[in-house]
Parts: sequence; C-alpha cells; structure tokens
Amino acid sequence: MIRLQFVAHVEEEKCTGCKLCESICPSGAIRMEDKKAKINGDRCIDCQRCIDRCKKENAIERAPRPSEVIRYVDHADVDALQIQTICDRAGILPELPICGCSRTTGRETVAAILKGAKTPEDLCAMTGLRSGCGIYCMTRIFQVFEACGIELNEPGDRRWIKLTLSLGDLTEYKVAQIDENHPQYHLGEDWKRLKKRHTTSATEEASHV
Amino acid sequence: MYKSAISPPALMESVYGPKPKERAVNLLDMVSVAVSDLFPDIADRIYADGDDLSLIEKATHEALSAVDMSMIKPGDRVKLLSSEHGFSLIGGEPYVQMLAALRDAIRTRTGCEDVRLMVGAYKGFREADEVIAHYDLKPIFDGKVYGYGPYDKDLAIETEIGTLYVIKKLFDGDWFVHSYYDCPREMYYHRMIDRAFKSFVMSYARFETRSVYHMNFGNRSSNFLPRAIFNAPLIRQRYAFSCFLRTSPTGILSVDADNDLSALNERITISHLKKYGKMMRLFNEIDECIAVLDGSRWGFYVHAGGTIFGVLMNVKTDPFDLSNHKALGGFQKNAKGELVPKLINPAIRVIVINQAWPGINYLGLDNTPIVIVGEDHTDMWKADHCNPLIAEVAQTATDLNEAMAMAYEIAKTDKVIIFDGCFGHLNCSPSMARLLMEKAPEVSRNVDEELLPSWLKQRGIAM
Repeated sequence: MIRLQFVAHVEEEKCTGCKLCESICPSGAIRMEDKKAKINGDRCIDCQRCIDRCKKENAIERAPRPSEVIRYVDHADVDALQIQTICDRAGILPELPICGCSRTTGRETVAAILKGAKTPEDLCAMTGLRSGCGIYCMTRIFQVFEACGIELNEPGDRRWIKLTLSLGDLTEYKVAQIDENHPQYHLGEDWKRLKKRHTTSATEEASHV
Repeated sequence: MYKSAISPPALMESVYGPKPKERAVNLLDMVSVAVSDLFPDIADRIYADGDDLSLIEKATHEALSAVDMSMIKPGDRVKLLSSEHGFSLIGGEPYVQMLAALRDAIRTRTGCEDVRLMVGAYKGFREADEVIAHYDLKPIFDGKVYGYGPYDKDLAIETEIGTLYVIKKLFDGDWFVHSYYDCPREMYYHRMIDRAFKSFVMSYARFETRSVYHMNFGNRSSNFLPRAIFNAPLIRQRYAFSCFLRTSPTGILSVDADNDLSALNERITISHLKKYGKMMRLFNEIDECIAVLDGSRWGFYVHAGGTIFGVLMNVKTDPFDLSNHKALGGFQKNAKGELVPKLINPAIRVIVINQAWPGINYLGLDNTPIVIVGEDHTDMWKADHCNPLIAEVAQTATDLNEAMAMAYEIAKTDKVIIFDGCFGHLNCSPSMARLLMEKAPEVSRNVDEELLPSWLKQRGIAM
C-alpha cells in the first residue's frame, strides 16, 4: 500500500515531446498527446522517475494532490485458496511482501491481477509496486503474471524485459556441477530450500531471505 | 582521554539528498577512536583522508606494472567501468585518482587514445552527471566520460545458467577494464563471497537482472550470478584486466590490479575477512547506542571506521558464517498477519538522521525510533516511497542538538556513534569509545583464533 500526496505535473511550455518520461514510467501514467506529455493522475504513483528523467528541460515537477490517495488492492473478497494456488505456482508466499519498498504482499499482487491488471503498468498503478526503488520487485511481478496464466508482450522500447530466472529453474545436474566447482555459494542447499517452498510452513519459507 | 572528533570527508551536494548542513562532529561534544588503536594489527594503509593523492597515482602505476595490456591496440576503444560507491570512499577523490592514473597507464603503454570512463549510477538519471561535475571529470578524461544506469539499453548475454541482461554501452567497445573497488559495504547480505565480481550484476547489469540477484536466489547462492555474467563468452572476449582500489577500515590499503580476477578476488576475501571481520564483530559488541547518520549519499552506506551503517543494522548474526543460510533477521508476522522484516539490531535504540539521502530501502527501519533534523529534510524522507513507513515513526527536530536531546530521552543511553564517512577512526561519544576500546582486544583474539580460520575454510582458502 502506498499513500500519495503528490502527482507528476508537466509544464507544457517546457515539454519537447521527447518521450523519455513515457518510457520510464512504471505505471503507464504518461501518454503523448500533440507532442506533449500528459499525466494520468489516476495512474501516477509518484515514483518521480519522470521528473528525474527530464533532466534537460526540467519540464515535470511534483504537484500536491487535492487530498491523499491510497493505492491498495483488497484481497479479502478474493478466494483465498485461489490466491494460495497462484502464489504456490509463482513460488511466493501470500503474506510476504514481493517488494521491500511498498510492502505489497503476494496476495495483494495476485488480487490485483485477478481484479483486472493486464500489464506490469496496470499492476503498479493499482498497488504502488515500483513506486520506490523500482528495481528489485521486477522479476516477482513477471512471475506472478506467469502464474496467473497471463502472457506479457514485451514493449518494443525495452522499458522492461520479461526475465523470470530463478534458482529453482536450474536443473539438479547444473546445480550439482556448480556446487562441485564453487561450494562457497551453497547453491544446492539453497536450491533444495527453494524447491520445497510450496509445502513448507510460512516461517520456513521466509527464512531463506 | 580520547582524541577530539575528527572532521569527516566533505559532502557532495545532490538533488537526491538534503542541502548539506553543519556536520555532526562540529555540533556535538564527541571524541574519536582510531581503528589502529582498536586493532593495531590492521593499521596498514597507503592513504588516509587529507594525504597526498599522488600516493594513489603512484600505487596505481606500480600495481599495473605487472598487468598484461598487450591485447589493447592503438586504434581500439577501451571502456573503464566504474561504479557509484567508489565515489563515496573517503570523499571519492582516491577513486578518481586511481581512474585517472589507470587511463594514463593504458595510453602510455598501449598507444590507445580512445579510453572512455563510464560512470555508474544506482538508479537516478542525474547521479552520473552530478559525479562528473563534482569531480570535474570531463577535463581529466578529455571529455570522454559517460554516465550509465540500470535502465539503459540492454545487451542479452548467454550465461551457463541462462540469459541475463547487461548494459549494452559498457560492452560495445573493443575492451573493458573492470575499474572497481573492493566493495566492503553490505557484509551481511553478500556474505563476503566474491566481492570482486559483484558489479557485474549490481552495476553493469539491467534492473531485471539485479532483481533476479536480489529476489530469486538465496543470499549465498546469489553471488554466483555475477561470476556467471563475467564468465559469459561475450563478456570474457572483451575483458582486458581489473584494477581495484583496495580498502580497509583504516583507509586505502592499496591499488591492486590483475588480469586474473579470481586471484584478485581471493586476495580481497582474505583481507576483508580479517580486517572488516574485526569491525563487524566489534559492532556486534555494542549493547546500546544512538546512531547518527551524517553523510552525503544513501545513509545506509555511510561509513564509521570504514564500516557502513547497514552493518550495524544487521550485525546480530555472523554474516560471514556460511553454515548459516540466513544473513538477515528474517520476517515476523505483524498485527495484520503480514510478514514484515525484523532486521534491525535491537542495540540501536534511536537513529538520528542529521543528513543522508533517502531513495534506498532500509528494511526494518520502521521498527526503530527515528529523529530527522529539519522540516525540509523530514519532508524529503516522508515523500520517499522506498521507505513509506518512516512517515509513521519519524519525529522531526529543528536542529541536531534538539534531535540528540530527544534521542537521549528515548534511548536512555549516552553511547553515540556517528556515521559520517570516516575511515581510520570512528567519531563517537566518550562512553562509546570506552566500550569499543574495552571490547576490541577480545574481538581481535576471537576473530584471529576462532572465526577467521573457519571463515577462510568455508571459502576454500588455505590459511
């Protein structure tokens, strides 16, 4: 959950229509109209990345919202078993945050997708994911979409690349090979722990962090 | 009697942090403890803050004298890959000096003129520009200076564990030089495994790859990713050699260079386990304290005695012990039934933020009382979505003295440690100095006789 008191605001006279802000926006809040960037306040999550990106023209600034807005998707009205099943498939825990910044949990992420998020941008706009560092939760987002059976089409501008590689994806043979050459990584031990994630208790599952 | 507090390295002004204000040591009645007084056996260094920077230049040329540069031809393009935290080591000047000397050595020895410095950023699009301006890098590098960051155009590489994505413009020259430092920062997270390789993920890779490193592997096994990237054929074809600024808690230890990155890595591991191991275990002996953050750049990474605040936050387990699969404190359920991190060291009774950049997630910070100095500064932290829960716990003070009065009242201790960027000594209260001096001899013995042999053995390194 995130609380929003600000929204990005474009000073049109400064905007050159370069589109750099559009491609960096994690929540799909920026569209170009008549060669000017337009902000959709209903999608903006105040990550300030567009402001940072517009470093030549400084055409974007933070403006106060009339009142605080909360971005959160309630999971209470979604079938708990369905959430659990999808989280199992994604290799995440329903109650564990998939993002250290917004603390958006696995079950909220699943609920947002079941309630209509079709793209990572939709998901970020609904939950506030990627409003903080914007980096570390990315592959978790892809994994949850995959577990929900939603095929993501990578954008042509490479604003994100669907990468889901996980230790659990490695074969037992590969893990054994790496373990033999580089025992200091304890790859096999971590691999076994991740592999049994779906059946162990929440405490054990979270303890690998 | 202890020495007076020592002035820390200068601050770098940035759009990512508060406007620099008076340093804590100038406002508080503090003392300093030299790392060499705590641990006389790790006192060696070639440079401390304020020394002649030509010492770094000389050390760089000496280190490079044994390196093979014959693969670089006069018409080639060479990229020196630098990373952001080098610029936070003792004010950043030693790193800049090493990079400049490195460029000079390549030109002189190979006849190659097209040597480009690539300046890395954590995530901000203005970070590299600020670094380039602050250290006046353009004239030093004849204008051949370029920023890069995790959102830049990708290059797919095939590694032995699958496809990963690095930053294309770092690897599109004929050669690159791994122009790094020994990265002693997050000892708890990276478990002191393969520090020399880390930037192949956390600097040179796209943000999706960084996410894999942080989220999809364990905290020991994740260290295989940077090695896998380094070993990818496409990367190895362009790799020339490595040149590192080596550190210890006392200052700059040396400049080290090698064509063989694994050999360099082993030298770093041995040195870090002993030297930073002692500081890490000493921090573990702190029973109660007020931690004051007073530096530019992200507060998590600001040093005291060459050791970052993040280490104090997470030191309650032994992160170098590889038999323990957990480095961090794990999670606990909150009242809502959600798993939240319980990472904070309970010895930290209060955190006073005199000045530090937000913008990076401090897991567990919301469990500890925080006092932030200045309304504007507080607003900056409260608007930071990397730490949304800080708004619920942070109090504001008008100045540092008021903040400390509030902290003393909450903490009921007069033990204060200041993280202000210092290597070579810690600025702290007399009571903290007493504690550290009392505990250091036993910590030193414990590391030398018990822990270090075990740590080395776990990493396959002979004593």
